[in-house]
Amino acid sequence: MNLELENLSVKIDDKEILKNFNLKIKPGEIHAIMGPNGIGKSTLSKVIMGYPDYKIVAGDIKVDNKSIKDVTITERSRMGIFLVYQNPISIEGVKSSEVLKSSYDSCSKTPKNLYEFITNVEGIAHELEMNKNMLHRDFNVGFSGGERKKNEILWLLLLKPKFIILDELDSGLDVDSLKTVTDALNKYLKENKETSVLIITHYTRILDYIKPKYVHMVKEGHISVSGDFSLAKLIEKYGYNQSFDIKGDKICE
Amino acid sequence: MNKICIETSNYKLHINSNENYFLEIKKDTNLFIEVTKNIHSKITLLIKDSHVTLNIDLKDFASLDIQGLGVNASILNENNIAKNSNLNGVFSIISQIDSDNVVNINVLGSNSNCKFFMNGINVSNNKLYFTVNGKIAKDLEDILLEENSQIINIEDGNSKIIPNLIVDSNSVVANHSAFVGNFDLELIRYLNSRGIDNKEAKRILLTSILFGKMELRDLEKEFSDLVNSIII
Ligand SMILES: Nc1ncnc2c1ncn2[C@@H]1O[C@H](COP(=O)(O)OP(=O)(O)OP(=O)(O)O)[C@@H](O)[C@H]1O
Ligand SMILES: [Mg+2]
Repeated sequence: MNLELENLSVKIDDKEILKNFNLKIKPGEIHAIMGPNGIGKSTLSKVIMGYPDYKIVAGDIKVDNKSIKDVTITERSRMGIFLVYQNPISIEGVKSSEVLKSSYDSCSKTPKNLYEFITNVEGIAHELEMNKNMLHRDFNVGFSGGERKKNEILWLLLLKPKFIILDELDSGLDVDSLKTVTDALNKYLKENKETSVLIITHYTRILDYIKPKYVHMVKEGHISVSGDFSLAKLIEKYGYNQSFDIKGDKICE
Repeated sequence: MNKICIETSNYKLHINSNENYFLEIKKDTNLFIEVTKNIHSKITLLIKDSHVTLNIDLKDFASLDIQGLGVNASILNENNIAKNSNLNGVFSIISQIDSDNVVNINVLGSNSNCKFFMNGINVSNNKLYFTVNGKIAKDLEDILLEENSQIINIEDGNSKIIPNLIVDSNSVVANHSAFVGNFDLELIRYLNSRGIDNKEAKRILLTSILFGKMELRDLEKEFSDLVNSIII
């Protein structure tokens, strides 16, 4: 998927969180956005997902050169945008399998019967080293932080998205789980070469597992510096308060 | 499981063995339930289009899990809880007509636990009231009393929750929570972001609200028709 943010400005209530935000992600590209706490990274992910409370006051969001400003969250999801939430919610009294089936049927043109569906989901759960029982438990209820994240990736692999936003994927995942999850994601990306990824993170750890082509640092509501993977290493070394210079396409300390 | 369809205006259920019951009520009824000393029981109540006065007496060391689904119904419920006993109650009321519900929980003996959940779905522009009164008698010890109530307005219904706790003792953990409002937007949007439309998201959340604290098995059949009829 081709996604473009053009001079995007976004307000929550009266507070401007994003200002003149520009970003272009081409099919198959992996980008990472880094920035300190509270700078607006999760806001950005929800704006791309289409949350109506985040008011776009200027600029545009385009998918394959068409504005999606008026497209609802549900429709964006069906177009293939998938947000892995920083803090996935739980739903008491409704089984995981039921929520996943409802989503799957909503998104697919050829609904599977229950047996096929369960077999499919159990296959993915196995790949993610998840306990099969979790599918039959209330959705995310009593799940650990890491289990919730795995459940998000399970859902992702089920819906086969074309644009993936990973909002702090590594929070809650231990080293082994992070490896399992990113192995599964990398495999998916290999098989789906047109799928683009936006990784949102304040740590570089995840970037060692899913290698971005471009790294962007967010400051004051927009991207202040862009570079390649080495920018992530500079940020890790010096923190976000350091200003970096870019000369040509080189980043200098 | 004992299935009983109650069609009289007064019915007494004396439980003196560890058995479970499914009671169906379709007309106004005064229902008395007594759980004898040392007995553990579970009751599922299905109340349709009627008003039920429900008196529960829990004797020493008895325990009762009671879950009730009321459709266009109302309940006046009085619970007397003796020492070392355990009451878990969940009532879900879905109403398209005015419904005024009262739950009185009287803890009369020490070492007792009571958890009570009241869930309401106010379907149209009607009235839906919950009054929940918890009363712990003087000088009792080691009591846990929890009352949680929530009402979701599908439209602009007039919904109200009045929770009261009267505690006359120190060695007591008692709390109550109450929420009246619409569907949780964060949850709806989360489901939307997985391709689920608003109608289906609300169906999922209704299931969660009405049945989150219940064992659905006995009510599954009633349930899907019901939820589908609420969401248009
Ligand atoms: N729904 C909301 N209502 C009010 N303020 C909000 C809302 N959502 C986000 N904000 C505010 O917008 C700012 C950006 O928040 P956001 O969650 O996007 O930050 P973040 O960069 O993801 O931070 P973190 O690294 O801690 O996850 C914060 O000041 C936050 O308090
Ligand atoms: Mg965030």
